[in-house]
Amino acid sequence: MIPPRNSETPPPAERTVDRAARAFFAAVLGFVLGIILDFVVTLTASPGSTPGRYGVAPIVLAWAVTIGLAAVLYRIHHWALYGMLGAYAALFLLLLTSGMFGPYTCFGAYGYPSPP
Amino acid sequence: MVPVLFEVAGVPIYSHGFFLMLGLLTCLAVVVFEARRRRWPAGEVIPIGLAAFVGGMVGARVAMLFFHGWDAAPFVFVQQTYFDPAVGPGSILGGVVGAYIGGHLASRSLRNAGCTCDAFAPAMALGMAVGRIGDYLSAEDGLGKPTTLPWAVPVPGVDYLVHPAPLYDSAFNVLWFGALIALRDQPFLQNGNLLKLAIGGYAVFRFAIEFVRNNDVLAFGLTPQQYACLLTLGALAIYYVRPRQLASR
Repeated sequence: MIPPRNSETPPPAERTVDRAARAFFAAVLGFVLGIILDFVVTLTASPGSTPGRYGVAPIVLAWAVTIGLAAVLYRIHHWALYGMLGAYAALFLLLLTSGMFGPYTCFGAYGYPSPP
Repeated sequence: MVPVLFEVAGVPIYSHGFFLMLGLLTCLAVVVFEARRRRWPAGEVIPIGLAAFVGGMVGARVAMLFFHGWDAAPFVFVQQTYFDPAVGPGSILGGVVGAYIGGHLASRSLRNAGCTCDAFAPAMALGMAVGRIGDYLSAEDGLGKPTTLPWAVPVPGVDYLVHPAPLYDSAFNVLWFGALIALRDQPFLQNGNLLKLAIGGYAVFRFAIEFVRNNDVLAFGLTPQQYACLLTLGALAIYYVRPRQLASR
């Protein structure tokens, strides 16, 4: 007896698990690549650099590579891009947590007007 | 002012960072609660939430270029400073707009028929209410213009009293949170309209409160923040007027 042509199609529950696993691994890939990219970008620039003082090229290159990687990850799987965004959110929260233990210089030089 | 809230084993905990973190966690808690109440699937909450978070992070910094000009370049152009809130200032207004754009793009990428972003509306208000307490305690985000009102507060370095502007912001956001919670189930405030109302309401309040904050005037007696509020309100007005024009053709 000839089996039906779609006999190899996994049942729906299995396909859902497969899809979830692919999304999970894509998110992990994006997360890891986001962390690595941030590490590389941090090595090539330094806080406080301005385009005039540091040079425009490294700054533009960092943004171009980041946006390019984001686009590639989105093409691979949209959860890979969200993994990358998750890496950035995690970095922000980590540094914000560490910022609780040190003076915050947000608007330290805020100018108050002369007395009325 | 109370720049150091308390100490843990001799390590000082600074009020600005503490309340900024507490504000973000409050925002997250309300989003999770609202998303569950609205039966919003995790497959949408997480991507839209992450995109809104990163969009807010970027928007807060980019807006500083508009508010402070080229002086803001060191922490606007250099990418890794975006992840370190201690490197430079960020703008709440820019953060709100950036978060909206990020969340909207993620929602579009998920091919949502409608906008399920209304869960963010009360969350944003309560998060800002908490975060502004840190601004007040640390006296970092300009308190306000000099005043002789009974509730005026002293600031370090000057011998006159000023408006506690961050507390005005915080009080408004508590009230606004209550109003948004009360309105959240209205049929005409679904599909993204509650979030637009939340942003529009804050823009109106912020425009008014800028008159007692001590930001620099840009032109015609208005600060850059007030122009940003007007732009936001203009964009919302165009959004609501345009469909009617298209429908009437």
